[in-house]
Order: sequence, then structure tokens, then C-alpha cells
Amino acid sequence: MSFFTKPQPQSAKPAQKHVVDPALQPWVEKYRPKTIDEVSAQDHTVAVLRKTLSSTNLPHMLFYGPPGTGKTSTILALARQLFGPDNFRNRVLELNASDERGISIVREKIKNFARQTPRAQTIASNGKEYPCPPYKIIILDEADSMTQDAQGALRRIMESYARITRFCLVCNYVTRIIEPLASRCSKFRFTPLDNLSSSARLVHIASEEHVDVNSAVVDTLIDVSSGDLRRAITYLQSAHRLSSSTDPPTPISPRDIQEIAGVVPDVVINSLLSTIGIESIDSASGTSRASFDSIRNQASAMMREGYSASQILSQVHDIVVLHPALNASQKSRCAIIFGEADKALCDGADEELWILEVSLRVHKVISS
Amino acid sequence: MSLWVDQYRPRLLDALHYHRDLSSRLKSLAACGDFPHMLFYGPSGAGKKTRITCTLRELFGPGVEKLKIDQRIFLSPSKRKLEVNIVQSNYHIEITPSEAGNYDRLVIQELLKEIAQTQQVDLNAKQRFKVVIINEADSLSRDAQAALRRTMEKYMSNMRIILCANSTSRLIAPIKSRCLLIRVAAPNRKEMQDVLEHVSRRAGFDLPTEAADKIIDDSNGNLRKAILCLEALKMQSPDLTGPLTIAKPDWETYCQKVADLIISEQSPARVMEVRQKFYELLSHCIPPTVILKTVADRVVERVDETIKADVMHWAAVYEVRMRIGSKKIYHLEAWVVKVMSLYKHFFYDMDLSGFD
Amino acid sequence: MGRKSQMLQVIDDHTLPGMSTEYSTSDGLWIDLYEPETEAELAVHVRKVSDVRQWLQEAFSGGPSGKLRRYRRILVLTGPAGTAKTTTIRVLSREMNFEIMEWRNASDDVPARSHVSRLNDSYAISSSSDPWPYDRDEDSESSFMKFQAFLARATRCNNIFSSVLDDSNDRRTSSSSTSSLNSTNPKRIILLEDLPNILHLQTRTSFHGAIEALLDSSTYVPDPVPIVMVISDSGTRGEAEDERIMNGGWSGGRFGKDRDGVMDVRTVLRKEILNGPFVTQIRFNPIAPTLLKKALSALLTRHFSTSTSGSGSTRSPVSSTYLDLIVDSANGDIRSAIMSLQFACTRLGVNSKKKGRKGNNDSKTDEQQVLVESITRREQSLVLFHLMGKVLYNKRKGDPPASSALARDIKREQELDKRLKDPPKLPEHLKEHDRKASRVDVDVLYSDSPIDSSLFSLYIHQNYTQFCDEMSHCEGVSEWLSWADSSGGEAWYQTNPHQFHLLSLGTLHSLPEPVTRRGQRVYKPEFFDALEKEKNAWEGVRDTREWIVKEGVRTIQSATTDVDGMRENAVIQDLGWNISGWTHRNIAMELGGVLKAREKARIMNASNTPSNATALSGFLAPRTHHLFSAMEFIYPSRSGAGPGASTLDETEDGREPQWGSDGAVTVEEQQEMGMWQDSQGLWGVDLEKKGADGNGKGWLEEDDIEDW
Repeated sequence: MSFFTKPQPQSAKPAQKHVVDPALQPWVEKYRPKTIDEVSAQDHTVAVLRKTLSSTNLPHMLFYGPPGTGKTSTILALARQLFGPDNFRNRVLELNASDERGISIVREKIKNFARQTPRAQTIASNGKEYPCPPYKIIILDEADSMTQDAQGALRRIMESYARITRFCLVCNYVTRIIEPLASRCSKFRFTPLDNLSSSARLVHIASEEHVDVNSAVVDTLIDVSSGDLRRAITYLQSAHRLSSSTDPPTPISPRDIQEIAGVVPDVVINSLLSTIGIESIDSASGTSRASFDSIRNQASAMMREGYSASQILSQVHDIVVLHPALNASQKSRCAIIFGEADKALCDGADEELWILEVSLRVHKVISS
Repeated sequence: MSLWVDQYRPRLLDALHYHRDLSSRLKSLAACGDFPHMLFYGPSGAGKKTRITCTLRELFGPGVEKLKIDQRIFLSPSKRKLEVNIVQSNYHIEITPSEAGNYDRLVIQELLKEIAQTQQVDLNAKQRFKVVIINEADSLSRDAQAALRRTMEKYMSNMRIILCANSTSRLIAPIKSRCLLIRVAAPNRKEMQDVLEHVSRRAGFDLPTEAADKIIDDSNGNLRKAILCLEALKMQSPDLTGPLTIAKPDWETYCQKVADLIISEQSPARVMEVRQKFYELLSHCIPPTVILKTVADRVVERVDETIKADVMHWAAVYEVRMRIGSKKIYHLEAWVVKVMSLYKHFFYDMDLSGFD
Repeated sequence: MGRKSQMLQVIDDHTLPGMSTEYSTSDGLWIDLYEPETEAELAVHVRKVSDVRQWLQEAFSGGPSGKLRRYRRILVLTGPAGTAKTTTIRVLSREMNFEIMEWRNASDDVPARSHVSRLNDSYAISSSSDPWPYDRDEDSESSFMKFQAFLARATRCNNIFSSVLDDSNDRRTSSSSTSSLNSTNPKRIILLEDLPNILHLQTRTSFHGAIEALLDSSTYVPDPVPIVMVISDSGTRGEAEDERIMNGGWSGGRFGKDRDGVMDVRTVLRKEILNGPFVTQIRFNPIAPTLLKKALSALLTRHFSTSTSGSGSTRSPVSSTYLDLIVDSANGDIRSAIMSLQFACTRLGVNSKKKGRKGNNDSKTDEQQVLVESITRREQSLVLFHLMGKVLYNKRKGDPPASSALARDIKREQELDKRLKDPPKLPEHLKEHDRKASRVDVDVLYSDSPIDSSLFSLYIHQNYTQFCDEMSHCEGVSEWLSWADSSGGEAWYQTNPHQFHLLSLGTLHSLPEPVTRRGQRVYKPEFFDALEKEKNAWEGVRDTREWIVKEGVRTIQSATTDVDGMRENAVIQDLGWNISGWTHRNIAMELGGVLKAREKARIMNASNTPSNATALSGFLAPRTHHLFSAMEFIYPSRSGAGPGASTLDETEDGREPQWGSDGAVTVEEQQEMGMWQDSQGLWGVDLEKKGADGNGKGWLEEDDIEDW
């Protein structure tokens, strides 16, 4: 029997629509805000959008901001509130970078999608009334990964379908959107979530899912996800999965979260730092002159443990930059080294060589 | 006759010798039905692949070991044919997209779509989903990673993805956040020794501790390398006593001799000679990064403490250039020249200070 | 003789302006008119000709033992364009009296193909014979069927072709008549020069199939018709392919198997066939300058003796110096040399008279040079050597002239120096970067360069060390090479557009001034050889991987009795279980030791207990693993001959020329060429135009061409 048996068209089951078992559904999807008022922490944006909801006149929009700050959630919630559950599907088109996005395909899809003129049907099946304005919404997720050419072509498309469609571009870096496109949209900036709203949301989800989390775990979650709520929720779900799969279920510990997030344990980072010559803040033992070999052994040991170099780098960076005992000149010289190393790692450089390089050079800066 | 590494590779999670916590976690994950996408990462030879196959076995039973190899042909947009080898059972499929080079995105997309659209044909299967193993995930292009990101969400109902990578640094954040990260660290000395002893027992002999020590020293946490070493050693001197020399692959000794060449003379003519040697190494499929690291390690052993850091610094610098550039030999050679100058200057300065 | 008398007219009237243009359009090309008819007229090296002749003799008669015939099935003549490969066959066909059956693609569609237009047949096929390039599949298939029919008939039945060939053979030379000489002649060969479009994948596959079927020993027919294939090199760049290999990215994902676009002998014949017993390859080298010049002067003599028989002027207008220029720029391509000679003769006829009146010899040669440069500019011409010389010799204002330099050159350099402006003095902290003004104009170099910056960088890389005195010099050049290579992006269109300038300026800046002359020679980059070797080694890796998989199956089946509590007893056929654990890279890096040990153990076992040997089947990996696993370190020997020697001696590493022994020039051959030089005495006069060193040996020696 072949692995690749195509589904029979007339098979008894209706074509599976990839319905996900609610128990297995990612919490990120499950707890997406249903209305824009539920969106965490983006008060200013929400206030503006609420107005458009009442006037039902929507401009083209450009949402930008770091990942996990609720951009996609906001536009989805807004669309849901505008069109109601019945019309949502045929009024909203979501395209993102993973789908085939050659500009010709985008054009084709948009053309097809925009062809049928929307009919106003304001009373939904659930009895509620929705504004259901006479246009469709096209969401272009990850718009900053579109090429310049594609963006240029998009500009023309936006104009020619302006009567019946509204575009919402979602991206991380507004600077990567070409100016003519950006100028056609009202821009909304999404700010990284403050810890308070993140933790409120996490605690809410945890209690809904009957997960036992203490405040230390929540703090760790927020810490490792640095304002990215989606990541925090995903980590929480993974941790829950791991802890509940054991028999009997073990409570989630902060260390679990760190391991899931790929964070290097503090002990390891501290031992690296002390080899380099930076004493961790709490321990105050005398500095020892590190030799080349000791640093090299330390670096290769860390690599053997499988820690990711970029993670080590960012953790070392966080400690060095905030370190009380280093002076500004030392810190800035270190910062240059970190910058170079980050670039190198992005270019795919050998991790061991660069961790060693960073260690040696930081050591040199510290001991000079 | 198969290699020992393959012959004595554990097939079950319980049979794994180290990282027992990890094994039990994997076991319970496989049992609980809520199996996530996973990303195994860790250094080469730490046992990622073995753990993945064991987990599969745990998920689907022995049927998963009935493998067949397919060669599939994909057509690139420019109508070029891409051949990709696919290992598959009824329950899982395994691909190494880096075989498709720049078209990995295409291969990933086509394959995953195809798998996601097919039902599990085996009604007795333990799981409703199929597993896709993606090898060398850290060499996936950004494009392919982006494509993967969406599919992971979309087809969660009947497909799970297991990524296998040496490091997470080159994976984009959305992928990492969609997977359960499983770190497989290299075994420590004790663990390696256990495994080596186990393998020797299965092969029918006792491994003297000195021999084991020697192998472990040499293998730098790479268990596969250690077992290969063990086999070679046993082959060379069946009684495993007396002074043992580890049979290193030729290229390693070659690299060391290249390092000696660098140390023994610094002149333009020598640069030329070292270049010949580098060409020779490159044409034996040794990755340039590995060449650079191996030679640098040896050079560092032989030079004075004061210039060690510089030697490594330039190795790091030229290694990055190598990644970006297309002609590896330039960068290898530039490093050699740099090291030679450093070394020469070092002696020159010493002479001067001695003279004062 | 009508044609010739017309030409005679023109030559006579060459003082009349306007007539010359008429001439060039009115008449046949010299390469057709003066195609060699006897071996003596061939400019090919005698040894090559005798190689070919011997092969043909063996193919017809089977050599001394009479058995060789079976193996003399296909002769492949390779070499750069214009090295008289086809002509050699035609000449031999007259001399040895055999018939040539030649395949022409769609000869009915394109009836008038002159000899010249076939210069690059392989590329012309698709465009010329294919009116609908987008619909190529059917077209090439149907034309392939014709080809197959041709092959079948040509190899089996005799005598059918005489008439057909006559039709297709439209060349005007007298030698063409031999090809259909007499139908009773039993000796015939098949000449494949114009191949079906084998760049088309399907066609290539069926082409390979057809050839292999021919060679299949089970269907061996007595008296096979030997096949001669003529395959011209498509330039030495081949970079597209190499770059693609390089683009493997982080992990070396370089296993894409298709290599399209570039056609060479390995596209035409599969590797196994090529290295098999039925195929002989003879490589034609670029024609040596001495031979070329001799041939050209012979041609001139012949031309002017016949054409001027009525007018009294029997001297050709082409001076020896001038001939040298043409020879220089032809780079061993006799066809191009004759073309430029013919063209030059018409132009020169006018000019030389005028110049003669002025009597200004210096400017005359200058002008001639300009003229030649304008008509002979050819890709990869000798300019490459000049280019490398200019960069590597790093001449700067005020450098003393080389001792062997001609007065003319010295004068020119002095004039140049007068025009050069001194660079502004650098401040104290930049003193180390102070240089004299360079005599090299990088912009001119760039526009004249026959090679792209990537290949240019390879040449610099290959040769710079010889021109450095100190490590600091090397440091500069190598750093620039490395920097320029990595300054672009990953894709080809992101490459740094200033690479050429950066490299040449960087090199000029870093090299010592003046460069110490020690008889340096410019060598061809070894880069491509290494790549080629690497490609083969990856084949070895693949073979080994397959072996691992196969052994996995076998072991599991035989190991069910193994005591292992964990494993079920059922025989698990787990083909490929092992494959998952082995990436190509791991195999290349880690497997060497074990494979070697196993081989050693096998040898020991075999000597101790011979009976055991069979039990160990599958114990050894396929032999191809040596390609990546076996490396022997040879300490570089420097026999006091300077850095160049080690390059020449490089075969000691087992590094063989890519084309087999025929690619290298043997010692006798070189000597013989030297003899030519001696006996002709006066040739070498103007050869050392540039960069001649103290020994009186130019860095560009004429024999060097053959070294390529």
C-alpha cells in the first residue's frame, strides 16, 4: 500500500477540513481574542479601531510591531466583529508568506476573491446584528517578506480594487514596506506587551486549562519570551504537555520552561563568564587569570552540551551589559564584539569558533 | 557486514544508555496522544537520530522499521529536475531537503502538502497522524523555513514534524516556537564508556579501560566516532593491549601535518605548498570549516600562549568569510598567511627585545 | 581558375581605395580555399596525426595481432576550436583512402552550411535547425529518430550512403570529393561532429542508449564501422557549473545530479563508456605558435604565388612581425588565425603601401598592432597573459626597465612615466601605504580583460605567491582575495560589481615594488581540478552510503539469533534503517579510519585463512571510498628550482591532468617544438614584448601555451 494514497473523492467521509481536535488545538489559536476589546495591552490602537467599527468605514491598514504583540489577532477580531461568523469566511482573505506568494498568484487570488460583490446581510444566524460593510478584507501577513517588486505590483492592485476591498498589511518591520504602499495605509504600531498584561493573560489561560502554575513559572515565561505573548503561550502549552504526559503529572518548574525555550541554564552561563573573568554578581570570589586552554575547554564543553550559540550570546550579552563592575568603555567594546558575533552567526558561521572568539575577546577587554 | 555503529544501534527508548530522563519523557509523550512537533538539536554524534527512530518505534511499533527508499523527482520552476531520496515507512517519511539545494522550499512544500492530504491507510495504526522527519533542518533556507512554519499549523491534525538539527541558531523563531525543543547533549565520559563497553560485550570481547579512555579522549563527545574508532582499533590489534594508536581518518593526520608545515616555515613558497595540501583536503570532501578548525587546533597547540588568541580570532573571521564567499580556498589561505605573519612577527619581536 | 584570377585582380589593384571592401565580400574564405590536402600541410603536431592514423589503422585492420579491431570502435577527438581536428580526419581519409560518412543535423533544412559556421555546431543546433524553440521536444525527437536511422544504416549496411553524402556535402574544397570516392572501397568511418541536441535531456538519454547499444558486445558484428567524434571544448570557464557546486550552502547540499548547459565530452559520452575499452580519446592541443606561423607563411606563399603570377609582385604584404601578432592573438586557433590573416591582408595591402612612403617604421608597427587588436579580439586570447603580467609585475613610475627590454619598450615606458602624475604625499600615520604612481591603468585592464572577475581572482590566487618576497606582501593579496570573494551576497546577482577593481588595485598595492624577477611563470588555476576531484569523491561517498544501507539489510537477516533481550525475533527487513543515521558529510569525515582498518584486516585474514575470505563478503566498502578516505601526505620537495617547480611537479600528488595523458605535453613534443624554433631561427624576435626578465626568458614563453 502506498504511502501516498490520494483521498478518494467519493469516500464516505466528507473532505476533511483539517479540523483540529479542540484538546490538541494550539492554545494560541484557542485563546485568540474574539473581539478587539479582548486584545491585550494595545489600548491606543484598539480605541482607534473601535471608532472605525461604529462608522464601518475602514481605511487600508498597516499593522507593525514585534512578533506576538497581537497584530494578527486584532485584525481577525476586527473582521469578525464587522462581518459576523457567517460572512467571515467569504469576506476575509488571509494570505501569508508561507503560501505561494509570487505576485501573479496574489493577483489571481485577489482577483477571484474580489470578483463577487459582497451582499449586505446584517442579521447573522446567531441573531446578532453585524455592521457588515460592503467590502472585503484582505490580510497580508508577513508583508515585509514580500519583495520590492511584489510590493510595487500590490500597489496597483490596491488601487484597482479599492472600491470593494480593504487591505490590511501585517509586518514586523515597517521600514521594509515600500513608501508608496505604506503611505496608502493608516499605520498602527503595536508595542511589546508589558509584563502585567502578559501575566494576566497567561494566568487566565492557565486557569482555563486547569494548569497549575505558580508566579515563578509565569515570571520565567515572560522572561524567556521577552514581550512575545504567542511564544509565552506556546511555551506554557509545551510545558503543560510534558508535565501532564508523565505519570503522575509533575508540576511545571521554571527550569522546564527554560529548557523548552532553549535557554541555557544560569549555572552554565555563569561558569563561562567566570572563566572569562567576569564574576557573576552574587558570587564574589577572587578573579583568576584564565588561560587560553581553559577558555577553549569551556567553550567546547558548552558546544558539546548542544546549547545554541546565539542563545549563549544573547544571555552573555544581557549579563555583561548590565554588569555593575564593568565600566562603560569595557561594555561598549564588548557590545561591538557581540554585534560582530551575531552577524557572523546569522551568516551561518561555525558556532564553536565564534563562542570561543567572543570569550577570548571579551576576556581580553576585561583583563585590559 | 554492517558497521558496529549500525549493528548495535539501540532500537528502543528503553535500550538507550544515557539521557534516561529524556527517554522517559519521550516515552510518555509518545504514549499520551498529544504528540507535538519536535525539534531535536545537539552536536553531531550525540544520538539525536537514534532517539528519533526509537521514538518512532515507540509511537508506531515495529512496523515503522519496514522502510523503503524512494527517489522522487521534483520539477523546479525552471523545469530542472531535482532528485531527492526519501526514506519512508507506512507511518513516517524522512527527507533531507538540503539535497535539493536551493530548491528546498519547493520540495518541502510539495511533500508536506501531499502527505497532509493523504489519510493514514493502515487502520490498525496506533496514531492518526504521520510523522515527517526533516534532517539537517538547520541548513534549510529561510524560504523553506517560512513555508514550513505555516504548514505546521495547518496540517496539525494528521501530520507531525520532527526536525533534526545541530543547532537552533539558524532556525527562525516561529519554527522554534512551534516545536517542542529537545536538546540532546553529547554523552559524558562515563556514559561513553558504558556504551563502548556494551558494544564490545555484544561484539564478544572485553574492552580494557585504557583503550576506552584513549578512544574517548579522541572522540570529543561524538559517540558515533567513538564506536567507529573502537571497531577500527579492534580490527587493527585484536587483543587491544599494548600501546594503541587510534586509527584516525587520513584527513585528520593530514591536517596536523599541514599545521606543522605552517609552523616550520613562513614564506611565500610555503604558502603555495600549503595551498596544494588544502586543495587536496577539499577534494576529499572534507568541509572547509572542519579543515580550518582542525588545522587551527593543531597550530594553537604549537604556538606561544600570547598569539593563541589571535590565531583563533583570525580563524573565526575567515570562517565567516568562507560561508559568505564562494571560493573556500582563498579564505583558508588568507588565514594561513595571517598566522604565518603573526608567527614570524612574534619571533622577530622576541629577537628585538632579546637584543635590547 | 576563374575565381583565382578575380582575386589576382584585387590584389593587383590594392592601391585603389574602395576595391578592398569589394574583395572581402566577393570571394571565398581562405580556410576553405587552402584547406590542407596532405599531412605535410597540416599544422597539427606530427605525433597527434600519427596517433590518429594508428588508431584508424587498427580500426580497419586490427593492428599487428588483428584483435584490436574489436576495441577500436569510437575515437573521440577533443580540443579547443580551430585545432584542425576535423581537417586531420579529412586529410587522413585521402591519404589512407577511406570514406567518411558524416551526420548533419537536419541537413535538408539548412542546406548551405559553410565550414566556418560549424565552428560551434553543438550550440548552433537548437537555434538553427529548430524553428520553434519552445516546442523543442517533438522536434528534437524526430530529428533524433533520423539520427538513429542514420547510425543503424551506417553501421550495418554499406554503400547506401555514397549518394546521400554527396547531397549533404556542400563544401567547395577539393578534399570533399574523397568522401564518396568509390563505392567498392570497404574502408569507411562515421564522422559525428554535428551531434543531435544532446543538451536536451531526453535526446541525450536516447543518444547514450544508441551509442551503448552499438558497443554492446553481444550484438557485435564483424567489421564494425569505426566512429569518430569531434567535440570542441566550449571554453575553459565552465563557471556556471562550478558555482552551482559551490552553492551547496551550509551543509554541502551538493547532490543535485543534473549538469546541464555545458557540453563537453562527458555530456556526449557517459563516464563508463568514456573510460571503457571501446573508446579512445585523443586530445588536440592548441596549435603551437611555431607550427601556426609556419602554416600561415606557407599559406601566404601559396596564396601570393598563385594570385600574383601575372602581376610580378610576389611578396606578401604581411611582415614577419605582423604575422607574429596574428599568431599571438590567435591563441592556437588556426581557423581564427587564417580568418584574421585574410582580413588583415586586404586592409594591410592598402596601408602598407602608404606607410612605405612615409617610412615611419615605429608608428607603422604600432598601427598594425592596433589593427590586429581590432580584428583579432577573441575571448580568452593571449591578452590574459598580458593582463596577469601587468598586475603581477606591478610596474610603477621610475622602475628600471628589464635588462632584456627592447629600446622601443623602454622608450614607451618613459613616455608613460612622463604622463603619470605623482600621488599626493600621505600623512605620517599612513606612510606605510605610500606607493609610487602605477604604470597600470586598472580601468583599461578592466575593459580589456578577457575574463570575468571571478576567473581573474583565481589567476591572481594561483600565481601571486611567486611574486611576493615577504609574508607581508602575501598578507595583503590574500586578504584582498578573501575580502573580495566574500563581499557579495549569496546569489550571483549580488556579487560585488567592483571585485575586479578591488582585486587588481589591492594586488598592486600589496605586491613588492619592484617585483623581484626570478623567472616567474603564470600558471593556470588548479581550482577547477580540485573541484572536479571533489565531485568524483562525492560519488565515492554515495557508493559507500549505498553499501552501508545494503549491509544493514544483510546483517539484520543474519543476526536474528543474536541474543538481545530487546529485539523481537522476527526477521525485520529494515532496508534503509542505517541510512538515516548517515549523512554524506559524516561518511566523508568519520568513516575513513574504519574502512582502512577493515581493508588491512582483510589482507591479513586472507593470508592467514584463505577459506575465511568468502565469509567476509560485504566486509569491505566499495573501492571508490578511497576517493574520499585515502590521503597520503607528501612533504613538499623544493629542489631549488624556485616555486614554479612545485607546480609543475604537482602530479606527484596523484593529481592528473583532467584529460588523461593526452592532455599533458610530453617532453619530446616540447623539444620538437623547440627544434622548430631553432631551425627557423628568427621567430622569437618580438615575442618578449612585455615583462622579459633578466634571463632573457619572457614570462610568456611560446611553449607555455601548450602547458595550459
